[in-house]
Amino acid sequence: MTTLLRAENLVKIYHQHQPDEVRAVRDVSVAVQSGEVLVLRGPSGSGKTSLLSLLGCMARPTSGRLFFADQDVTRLPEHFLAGIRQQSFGFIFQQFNLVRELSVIDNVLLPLYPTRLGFAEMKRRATEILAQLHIDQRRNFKVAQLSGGEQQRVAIARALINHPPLIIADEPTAHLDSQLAAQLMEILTELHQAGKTLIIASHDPFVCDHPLISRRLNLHDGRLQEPGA
Amino acid sequence: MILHAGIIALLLGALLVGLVSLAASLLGLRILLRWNPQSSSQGQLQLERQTWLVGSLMNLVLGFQIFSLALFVYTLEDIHSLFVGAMCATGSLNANQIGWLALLIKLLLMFGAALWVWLNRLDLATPTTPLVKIKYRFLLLLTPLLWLDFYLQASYFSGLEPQIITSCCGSLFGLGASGVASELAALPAAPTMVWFYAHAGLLLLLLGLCLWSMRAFLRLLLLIASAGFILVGLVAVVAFISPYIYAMPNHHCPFDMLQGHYGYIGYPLYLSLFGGGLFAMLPGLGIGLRRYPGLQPLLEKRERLWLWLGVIGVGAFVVIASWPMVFGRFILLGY
Repeated sequence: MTTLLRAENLVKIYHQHQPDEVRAVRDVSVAVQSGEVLVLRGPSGSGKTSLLSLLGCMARPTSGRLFFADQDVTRLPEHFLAGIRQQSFGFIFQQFNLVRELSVIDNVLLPLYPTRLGFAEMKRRATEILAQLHIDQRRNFKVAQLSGGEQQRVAIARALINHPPLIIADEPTAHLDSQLAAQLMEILTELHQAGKTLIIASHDPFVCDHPLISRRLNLHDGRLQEPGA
Repeated sequence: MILHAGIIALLLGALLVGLVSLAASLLGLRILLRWNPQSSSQGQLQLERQTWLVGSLMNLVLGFQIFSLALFVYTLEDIHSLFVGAMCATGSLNANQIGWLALLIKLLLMFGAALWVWLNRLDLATPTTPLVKIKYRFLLLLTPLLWLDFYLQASYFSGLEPQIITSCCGSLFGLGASGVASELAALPAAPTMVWFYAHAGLLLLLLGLCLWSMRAFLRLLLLIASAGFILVGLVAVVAFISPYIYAMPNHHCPFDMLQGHYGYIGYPLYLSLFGGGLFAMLPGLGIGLRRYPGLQPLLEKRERLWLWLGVIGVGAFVVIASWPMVFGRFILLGY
């Protein structure tokens, strides 16, 4: 296995040198291997989302270095990072972050617009991925008309549409009941079997103890603790 | 004001360019004060996102600014029939005192806009974005000129009255008139031809040498030669290229050739002159940018394309200018 993502001594401080300074991530070093399923677990406020944002190149570390596929991406300007995110990362957000006024298929198509794909190919891809996630019958529905589980699957379809090697999911079961959470884990298992690398932040025991997970990292007050079993 | 589609498009376009460039200048001021690529603060990330967005918008509006020179001249050609005494764009330009100044500013801004787009593309293609402050300083210089362009166009077009009796190219570029235009028209054809072809030959030779060698002084020579060629080319158009196109020894107008009955030949002629000259200048301008981190490899990679585009542009200008001399029956030197 090759190292897909490597963090060295990552530190993230919000509002630095101000009275409301927050040290969200403290000296975190971690290497994520290709094909691995890694869970970041910890209580609310432990820095999981901040660390995911750093690992997903959505925020810039205050200090430390981040390598993606052996390229140092720590100080790349935002438009370079946008390109890396668009090509290599699929994000599943806790709040889904879908555009509620748009239809399902238009939400899924969004990451493809900056690419040079023709519209017919874009629609073919979106239809295919929606069918895989069993949501294609709702393709023309507005997102606002969907249930939480359906919205979650649309968010997953959007994350997968660019065929990214790495999927980052932040509390993916937070808004799902146990049945939908089980369905989600089945989808994530299929993604893992398809060769995707997964980084999941969760404090849900159902996710953290799932057999799919190959490595667990505990985060507390922004620091990595001794790894769990 | 004359409600012509071209005039409305030019004014609305210039207003949009002015507004976007004003917003971009305000961002530029913030960048000049707060830009720190080493910072991980949210403010810096926001500036980076904004500069990407604003850079993309500026590419579009300055692209329009470059195109608007052609639209301006086309519109002047199209409305000349409204004025008594006008036979081409020269008559429209002479219809009030602002026309020529508006054209001059548009010409300057075409080069300024092209250079800004060039700087922006280089900057955004480099992971260290080394030109971000330079391009916004340059934009702070361009923005007042862009508003001046809007003001001059608005004043010029609003001051046009159909009952105006204007003078046309015959009086401006005629041999009996006084002024720079008539002096250019009166230049002796044979020495001007020698001067023009020698300069074109030198420029093509320098372009070839720069394709072959990486020496900086060749690029600086190329910069001077290509800037000079744009001027020489314009002089040549008035002095002898236009009489050949019109097949009339005393017809030196640089605008008539933009009309349909000359096959709109003026558009490719000027496009190749300005485009070829500009691309040939870029390797020389790039010399000054080589010291910025990360730019040297990018400049070396892109330079060949600019050089070839320079060769194509200058070559096309020489071919278009020479075509009527070689294949036409008219011989200017016989007059």
